[in-house]
Amino acid sequence: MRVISNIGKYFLMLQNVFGKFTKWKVLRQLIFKDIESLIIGSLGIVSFISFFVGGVVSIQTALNLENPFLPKDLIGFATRQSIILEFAPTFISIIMAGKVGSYITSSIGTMKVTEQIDALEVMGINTYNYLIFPKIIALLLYPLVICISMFLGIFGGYIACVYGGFSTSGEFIQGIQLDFTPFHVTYAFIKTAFFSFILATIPSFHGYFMTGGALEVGKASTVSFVWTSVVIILLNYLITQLLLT
Amino acid sequence: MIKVKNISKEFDGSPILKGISTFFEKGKTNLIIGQSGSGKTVFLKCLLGLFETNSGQIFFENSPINLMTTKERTVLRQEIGMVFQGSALFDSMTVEENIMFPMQMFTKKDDDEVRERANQAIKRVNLINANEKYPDEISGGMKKRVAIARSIVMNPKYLFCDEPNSGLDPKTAILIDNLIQEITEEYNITTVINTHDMNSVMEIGEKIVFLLNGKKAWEGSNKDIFNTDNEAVSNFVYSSDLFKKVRKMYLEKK
Repeated sequence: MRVISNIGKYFLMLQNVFGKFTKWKVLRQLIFKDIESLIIGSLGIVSFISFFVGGVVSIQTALNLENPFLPKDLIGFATRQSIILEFAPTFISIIMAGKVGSYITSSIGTMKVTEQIDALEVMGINTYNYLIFPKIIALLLYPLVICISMFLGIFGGYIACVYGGFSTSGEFIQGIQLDFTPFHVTYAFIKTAFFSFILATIPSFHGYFMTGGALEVGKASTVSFVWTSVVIILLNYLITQLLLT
Repeated sequence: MIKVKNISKEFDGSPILKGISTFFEKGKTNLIIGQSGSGKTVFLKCLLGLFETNSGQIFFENSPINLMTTKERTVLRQEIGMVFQGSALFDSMTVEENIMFPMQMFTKKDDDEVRERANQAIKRVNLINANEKYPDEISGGMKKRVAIARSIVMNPKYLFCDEPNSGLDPKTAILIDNLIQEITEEYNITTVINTHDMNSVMEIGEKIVFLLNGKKAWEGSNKDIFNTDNEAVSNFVYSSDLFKKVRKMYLEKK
């Protein structure tokens, strides 16, 4: 029953986010601040994880290709498919739910417990729009992060494969080009667009509607991570079913 | 002037405010006092429109807040200044930016004008060398001053303060009380202060409303409070031996 009530509250919150708009001059500054903290601040960890996971994917694939009749270019092929279809859009989003999601929940939650949101309300500001809308706009750049993740994941796979002696550079590159379907990239970016909206709004919901003190801010961040991950996984299944089958 | 007519508020079926009627005059420091849990903060939040009342009406200069349109409420809120218990300064902004914020949101003034007006407010509350500091770099007393500066920067008609001197040492608390009283007279605004600080009651309580278990149990001024025969308010105000002696001396002298 509480879950249904929260879903209703979430959609009402979304309605208010697009209600009375904050002055553009102020909103613009908030959007740039959020781009810096949510997007640019995440590039380091996303690059690091993507590079090394790409490397591990290619090594794992190479080690499982025991049959000498299987061509070595399959390593590049499997790495590309894993990175573009699932790792970059979905698993990086789960990681971002932990990093960006917790940041959003705790920052809004702290504003809530220190009465900063009440102060904004008293001034007559639409706090939903002021706090959440800039995050939604900033996360429109999230596909760019995923693009970097895709590139670095495949590059990491190439380095690990070629310098680990599992295949030649030519074989890996041939594998990357093998049976390439451009729609798979489109599919990945469609998923990413949905995930970016989820990453901005679900953690905001948990921060905005939390009650209590500092301890509850921590709890809200954890709950926010769990729910953001659950929704991303379910949405991933639904979008895959709709677009790839 | 703010008039309150028979307001009630309940949460999950349990009544918090029970039929309160009173008024708060312009140019005076009006105090709401009462024990913790008596409904002071809920009452203040109802006045601010942060909580909807279950019944009754609140009038700001004869306009009932519950019948106002969203646009009218937004306009009203721009005429309200609020000092929160914990100051509620925006962590990500400097002192100067905090004070400039309401003007940046609601006026069409350019940055220089906004900065100039903010600095006038900073000067008014006697804040020195704090413009570029962040809230976590200043003391509790300075935070209250910043909160007061932010609340007066738009020249409000109404000023609400929720326990403005809680957590402050007695000397700073008196300075903050005096500052609020001076600003009330200077700007001729309606000030409502939520407090359980007895120094504030004695010093600046031009009109006092005493709440007990969500009901208005007494109202009067700081002068009336010495002579009151209301047992509940006497027990609350003169709970310490010092205040009991002060009252006894005052009545004997009289």
